[in-house]
Amino acid sequence: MKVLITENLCKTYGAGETKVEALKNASFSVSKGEFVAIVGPSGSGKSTLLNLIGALDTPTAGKVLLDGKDIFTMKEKELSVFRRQNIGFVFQAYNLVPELNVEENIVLPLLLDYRKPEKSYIDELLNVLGLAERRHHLPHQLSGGQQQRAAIARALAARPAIILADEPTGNLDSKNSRDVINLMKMSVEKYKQTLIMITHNENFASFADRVLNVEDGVVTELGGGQR
Amino acid sequence: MNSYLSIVPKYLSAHKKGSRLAIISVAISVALVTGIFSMLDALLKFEKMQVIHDYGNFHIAIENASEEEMRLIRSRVDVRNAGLWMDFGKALINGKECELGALDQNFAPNMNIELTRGKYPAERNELMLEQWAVEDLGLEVNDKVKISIGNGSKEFVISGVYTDFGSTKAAGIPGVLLSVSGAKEFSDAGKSYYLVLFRDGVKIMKAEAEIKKELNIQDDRVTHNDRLLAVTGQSANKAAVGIYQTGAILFCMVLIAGIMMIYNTFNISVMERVRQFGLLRCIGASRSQIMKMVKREGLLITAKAVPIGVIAGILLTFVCSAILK
Repeated sequence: MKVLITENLCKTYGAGETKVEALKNASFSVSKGEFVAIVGPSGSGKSTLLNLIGALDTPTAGKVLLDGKDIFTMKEKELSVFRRQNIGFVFQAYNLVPELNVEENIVLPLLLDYRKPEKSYIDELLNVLGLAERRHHLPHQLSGGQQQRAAIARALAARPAIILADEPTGNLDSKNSRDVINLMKMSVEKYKQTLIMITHNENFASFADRVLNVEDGVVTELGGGQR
Repeated sequence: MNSYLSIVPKYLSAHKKGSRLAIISVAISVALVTGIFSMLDALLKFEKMQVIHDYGNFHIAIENASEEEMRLIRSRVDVRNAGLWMDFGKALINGKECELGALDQNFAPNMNIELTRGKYPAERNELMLEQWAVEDLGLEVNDKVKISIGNGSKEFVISGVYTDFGSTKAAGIPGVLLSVSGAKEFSDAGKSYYLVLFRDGVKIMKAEAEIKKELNIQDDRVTHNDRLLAVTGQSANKAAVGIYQTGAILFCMVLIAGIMMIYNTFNISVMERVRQFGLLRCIGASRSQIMKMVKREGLLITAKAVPIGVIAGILLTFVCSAILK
């Protein structure tokens, strides 16, 4: 079953001489439960692609079907509801809410969706990601790795259809990076999530089921990792 | 945490400095508005006292009212007090010039006439005099004096002495008040006015129109205590407009300053957080949820700032009144 389908996705920034074609006719699909890595040099259009999939930006042309729904035909309000129910984000800069502690940050997406957090599931997430003892700490009291693990827990909390990670290890050292990647892969398998991750590190790309290469806005399939 | 709105108090306590600044700026604006309005109110009360002192405490006066008209007006429910005032103009007391008049006893306090000695003239041959005039003319209570007006003259007994009247004392012409019955008998040269004070809260223009219509009284027989009507906001007269205008201008200035102050502090604190709002949008907050958060924040700040502002405004008024007195 395809969770994500993109059709001829194009994005152009600016006009005239400053026109930049960040993405050219990107068409691919992702099945449920897949772990897809996106690689490519800086400025190749990876982040643009991810932003379009996550409905954080609008395309110049083309379609994105998430869970069978065309996300760009939705109205603003509908889209924010859809986003909080179906898409989880993990950013390079963690982006936790600084005034809330780990546990509150994790349940925030559920509260925004007017759902009551399931205590056992939250406890489980905290244990799996090794944050059980840090649940009442504020983000600035945590290490980078711990913050990123909290961000992953937050992305998993609402059980979204798809998790989008934009260089989640970009700010971490190699040991923490490996931990984070392992945890992501593990939790994706455990909770049957779909994960699309941008990475610069070829080694981490090899953890993925599939690798997409973006170069000058053109998306090509590099085939499976060395599973 | 039970609702996403719990972020707001957490944010406010995490950013104490900013919250305090916002609370202070709102409180100052509220205090200024409260202070100005209280001061304006005090000013109007003071003006009213002044007007009553200078012109007397009555609303309208009806010239040459008949006994029947007076009876009907006095019996109206919206009339608090009414009394007859007669003015004979210049007369002579023991050969010296004086202002001769007569006033119903029940209305004397309204015209700031207070007895200091003796009793209010009731009999036909009784009168009362101003304090300074008694001393000036070397008279005493129960002395007899001769009052002449036009060709007629009559002997009266001084039954009482009343407090000095600023204007007559300054002019050196003593004010002499007869009893109303005595005055009527003594001369018909005087003009008579029936003075009416309505109850508080009565719409005076309306009540006056009613009286005129019911008793068939012509417009030119009715005169108004314009200054008093103006300060109580009961007249179209422009005398008190100045105070209201000053108040309106001050109010507008404070309002604009307050809005700008509150808007700026709030705007800065919101602008600083555009990133955070973006982040919240990414994890699923809708635009209206962000709006709700900002509104909630404003509400929490206002809830703290308004009581502080009102109390500060009241204190400010007390201090200002104390200084001005």
